[in-house]
Amino acid sequence: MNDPDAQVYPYVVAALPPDEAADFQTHLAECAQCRAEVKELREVTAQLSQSVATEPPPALRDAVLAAIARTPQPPLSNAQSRPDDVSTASPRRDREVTAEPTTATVVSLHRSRSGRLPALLAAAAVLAALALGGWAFQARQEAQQTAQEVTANTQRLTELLSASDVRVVSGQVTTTGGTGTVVMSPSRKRAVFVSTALPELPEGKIYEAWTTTDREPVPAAIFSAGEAKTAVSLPAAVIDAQSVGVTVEPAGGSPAPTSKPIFTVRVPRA
Amino acid sequence: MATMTTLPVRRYHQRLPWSLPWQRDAHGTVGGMRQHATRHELAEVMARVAAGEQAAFAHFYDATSRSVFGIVLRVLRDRAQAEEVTQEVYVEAWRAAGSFDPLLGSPSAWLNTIAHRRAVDRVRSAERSVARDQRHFEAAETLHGADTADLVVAADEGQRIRAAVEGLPEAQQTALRLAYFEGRTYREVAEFLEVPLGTVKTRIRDALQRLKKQLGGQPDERS
Repeated sequence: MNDPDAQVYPYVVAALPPDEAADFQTHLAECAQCRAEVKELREVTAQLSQSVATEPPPALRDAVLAAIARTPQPPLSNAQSRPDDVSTASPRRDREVTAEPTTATVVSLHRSRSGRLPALLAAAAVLAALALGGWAFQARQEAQQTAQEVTANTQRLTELLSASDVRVVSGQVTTTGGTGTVVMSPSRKRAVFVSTALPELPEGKIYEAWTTTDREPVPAAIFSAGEAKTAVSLPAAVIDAQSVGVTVEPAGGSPAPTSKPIFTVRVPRA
Repeated sequence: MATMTTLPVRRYHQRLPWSLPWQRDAHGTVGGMRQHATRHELAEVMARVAAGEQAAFAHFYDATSRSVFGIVLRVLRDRAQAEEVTQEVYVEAWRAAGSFDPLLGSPSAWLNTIAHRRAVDRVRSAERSVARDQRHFEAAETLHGADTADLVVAADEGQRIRAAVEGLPEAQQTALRLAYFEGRTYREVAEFLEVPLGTVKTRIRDALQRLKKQLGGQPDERS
C-alpha cells in the first residue's frame, strides 16, 4: 500500500507519519522521477501558502532581523542541509569560497574553512581574556570547558565573548568550591551564566538566578545543572545590576529567594 | 556582526547586482514589488544572504513574510505561536541559506517547505487530545463554507490560487485543507472523514495534480 510513487503527494503536504516520511526520503535519494515531482509540487504548495498570506506584525520584522544579527551562519562547507530530501537526493557542488585577507582575527576564524565552533569559542575566550588584561584565568577555562558542549547557547556565548566591551566575572560556587562565571556585554545587551561546578539537584528543586540592585533580588532565570553546563541566558538587566546570585529553589522557581545563595558575584563596571 | 558579512561566494558574485532596486518606501512596500519578487530576483537575494548580508536578508523577509506568516498562522491558529515559529523559520533560513541551490527549486518553495514543516511539527508536538478535539470542531464548522476569515485577510493576494482551490471537487478540497492547512497526517484525515486511507491519498493526489496543472510550478515568475 506504500507504493513510493503514491507517497509523493502526502509527502509534499507533510501528511506522512514520520516513519513513512523517512522511508520515502530514502526512496527519493534513488528516484530521480520522484525528486522531480517533489520539486514541482513544492512550487504548488508554496502557492497554496500565498493564498493565505497574512501581514505579520511589524515588530516581528525587527525581532527576526535582530535574531539573525546575533546568529552566525555556519561555514559553507558545514552549512545545514536542505530542509528535507532534496539535499540528500542531490549532493550540492562544492562552492568556491574566497578567503578574505585577515584583518580582524575573530572574523577570519569565524569564516575559516575549518570553522569548528569549539575552537572558535576557545579562541574568542582567549581574546576576551587578553582584551580584559587578565580577567580571571578561571573564567577563560570555564568558557573553554563550556565549549565542549556545543549548543545554540554556545553561539550566543561566542558572540558575547567576541564583543569589544565584553565583561567576564567569576565567583565560587559554595557547594562545590568550583567556579561560576558571568559573561556580559552592554553593547550586545546580553549576559550569560556558565558553570560546570553545579551539582545535579534532587527532584523538585531547581536553580534560580537573581539580580540585585538596591532593592530585593529580582528573578533572572531558572535552570537545571545540565543547562548550566552549556550557558544560561540572563536578562540584560544584569549589566546594570550590582550583583548576580544563584539559589536553589523549589521546582518552578520562586518570586524571592528562599535559601542562601550558592553563588554570588559583583557585576564589574566598565 | 557587521564585520562578518563580507564573504563573497564567487559563483554568484560576478553577476550580482550589489544594489537592488528594492528600497522600502513610505508604505513599507519594496519598490512596489513586495511579495511579488520574481523567482530570479529572489534567487539573487538568496546568494547575498548566503554570503552573510543582513540587508539582503531584510529584503528577503519583506518579499516572503506574508506568505510565511500566513501559512504558519493557518496551521497553528494562534498568533503568538505563529510569530514565534515564523521567527524560527527565518533564523533557520538564515543559517541554511548557504545550502540553498537554485537548481533545486525556487527560494519561495524552499522557504515554504521550512515554514510549513515547522508549523506542522509544532502543531503535532503541542497538541493534546483536548486541543485536537477542539480543532476538530472548528474544522467541522469551517469546512463547508470557504474559509472566509482567510479570504478577508488575504485580500487581493492569491486570488487566482484561492479560486483554483475552491474550484476543486469538494472531497479533494477537504482532504487538502485537512492535510496541508491543518497539518494532519493522511491517517488522521482518513479517521476524521471516515474514509479508507487509500481514498485520502487519492484525493490529495488528485487535488495536487489538478492544482499543478492550473497554477503551474512557478509561483513568482512574472516575466
